[in-house]
Amino acid sequence: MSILEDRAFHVVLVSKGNLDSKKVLDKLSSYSALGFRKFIIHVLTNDERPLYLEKLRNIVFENIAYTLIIEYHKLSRGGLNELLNRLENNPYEVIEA
Amino acid sequence: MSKYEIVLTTDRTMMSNHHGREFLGFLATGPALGLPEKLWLWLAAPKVRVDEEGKPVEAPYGMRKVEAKLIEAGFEAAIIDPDYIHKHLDSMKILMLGHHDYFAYGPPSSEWWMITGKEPINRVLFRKLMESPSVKMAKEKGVKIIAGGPGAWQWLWELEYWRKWGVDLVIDGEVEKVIVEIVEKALADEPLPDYIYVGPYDSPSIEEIPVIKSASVNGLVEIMRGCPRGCRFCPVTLRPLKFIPPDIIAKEIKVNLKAGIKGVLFHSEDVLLYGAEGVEPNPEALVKLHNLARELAGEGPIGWSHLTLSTVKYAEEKYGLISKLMKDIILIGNQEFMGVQVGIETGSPRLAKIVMPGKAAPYPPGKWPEIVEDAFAIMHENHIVPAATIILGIPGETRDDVVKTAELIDKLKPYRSLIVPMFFVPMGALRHRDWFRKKHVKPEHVDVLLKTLNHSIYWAEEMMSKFYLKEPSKFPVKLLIKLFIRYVRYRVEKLKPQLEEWLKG
Repeated sequence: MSILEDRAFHVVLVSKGNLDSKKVLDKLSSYSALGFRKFIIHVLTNDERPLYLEKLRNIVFENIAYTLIIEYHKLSRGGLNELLNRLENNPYEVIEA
Repeated sequence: MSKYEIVLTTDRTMMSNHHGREFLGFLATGPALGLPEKLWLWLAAPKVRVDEEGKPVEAPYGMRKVEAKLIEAGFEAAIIDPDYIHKHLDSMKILMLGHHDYFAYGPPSSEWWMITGKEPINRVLFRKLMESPSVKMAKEKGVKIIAGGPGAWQWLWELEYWRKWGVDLVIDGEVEKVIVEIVEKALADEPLPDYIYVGPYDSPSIEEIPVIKSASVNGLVEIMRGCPRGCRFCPVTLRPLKFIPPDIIAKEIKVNLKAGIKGVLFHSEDVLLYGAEGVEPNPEALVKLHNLARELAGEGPIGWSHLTLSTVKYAEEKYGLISKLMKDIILIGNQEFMGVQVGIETGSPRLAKIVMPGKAAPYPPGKWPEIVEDAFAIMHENHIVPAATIILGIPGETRDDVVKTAELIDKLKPYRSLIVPMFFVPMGALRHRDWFRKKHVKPEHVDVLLKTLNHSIYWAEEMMSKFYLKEPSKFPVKLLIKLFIRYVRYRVEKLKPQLEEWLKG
């Protein structure tokens, strides 16, 4: 198991417009209550890379406690399914925010 | 023929020993004022000596840690001076960047930018580095670019540059635990995340932190990480506290001495808390540490990076520790004084209680102004020259808070020191708050700015005339600094009537 993925919770974040940072942060909080301290946020978006990060800025700056790893994925149904298959054996949740 | 698959570099404002005087490096946080840019840069950040491969004799300590970690993992990795990257284009697969303040958003750079309207030189130089033919060519060849260091957060405010320069990953935090895996992925051409923030639970253990393999700027060595005080504006207090064992510190001192760096510069957020129990200093550990440094460094200078004022007061009152360390160990041979960075931040007990209640411990935060004054007196008596920061625009600040800060500055007049005001930059636990901008500046802030300027100019001139940069070889540096101080004085005198009118209003 890679160090980056070890004991991480995967958040599959489907971002179609403006991002609700509070929703995402509340999710992180709720999973941290279960003992998770590392979150891999898979961002599915049509925004360009890395410009999509502007919408995640608040999430990054509100966080001081957890390790955050942000990965970019082009938004598509096929892409989402492929990602979910990859995450089959990992704890994850899909959030539309 | 180059062999380095991983090249670590930064721009000139960081890749410098600042004439052996770290505080001169702060000039790199400002724009060139009163001097041509080339001369300003020479003053703030002259080139370091390099070998035939462009490997600098001294390099930023944090980058040395990453370099060491990669070398220990078996990679061909080296810190390379920014003027020599072109020598490694054939072998380079990854270009790693480190910086304290990539885009001049940190304090005090952002403040000087706001006041003067000119880009600070650290931002200018970093941009020049990224747009240099070497870096452009590296990117065209498919080299992966990974940016880290204490200034990593600033990339989130410069996404267009991030995109333009093709940076592959930005990583913020203590990277020792994760950097090898990241490099392995990059070399194997696997997809990389765009951004990583390493939180406190992934902080490396002492065993996971490597010993530097080559010398650090001015002999800086880490003696501890983190700080127990929990000030809300501070990013460092978020790091888990750990003390580096003396034998590891000794190894790093020896690396520096072997490279010809004569002195030892202890790095900590509060040197006097080395080996401490909470905020209770450990005199035995400190004396042992300093004796170790003295034994290894001979008559070379010993310095401290940072202190907390409450520890200064407490350590001296309870143990006589400041005078003991200074008289018995530090101020021997040619060393006449020691410069150190300290935080005043505010003169308001009310604001101190809200944003930094732990900074005054073990004293109550309501006593903060007295603690500051007492600590300054102790340092003055013991030939310690603080460069003290004040933060203007802390969230929740009132007019009365700023007035109390101005009053405290008046009380500090008799004590040799520099006092540098900083505009609030969202960091640490307050990193989600808003910046202190030009539109927020009020007459009481200007009053504080003028007081700190007058205070610092007075003491800077005194130090220059008595003991700073005394060596003949430093004469040109000294002359330029004197000219700069005169220039600042002249500009402020010209502005004074306008400022005084505004202050009355």
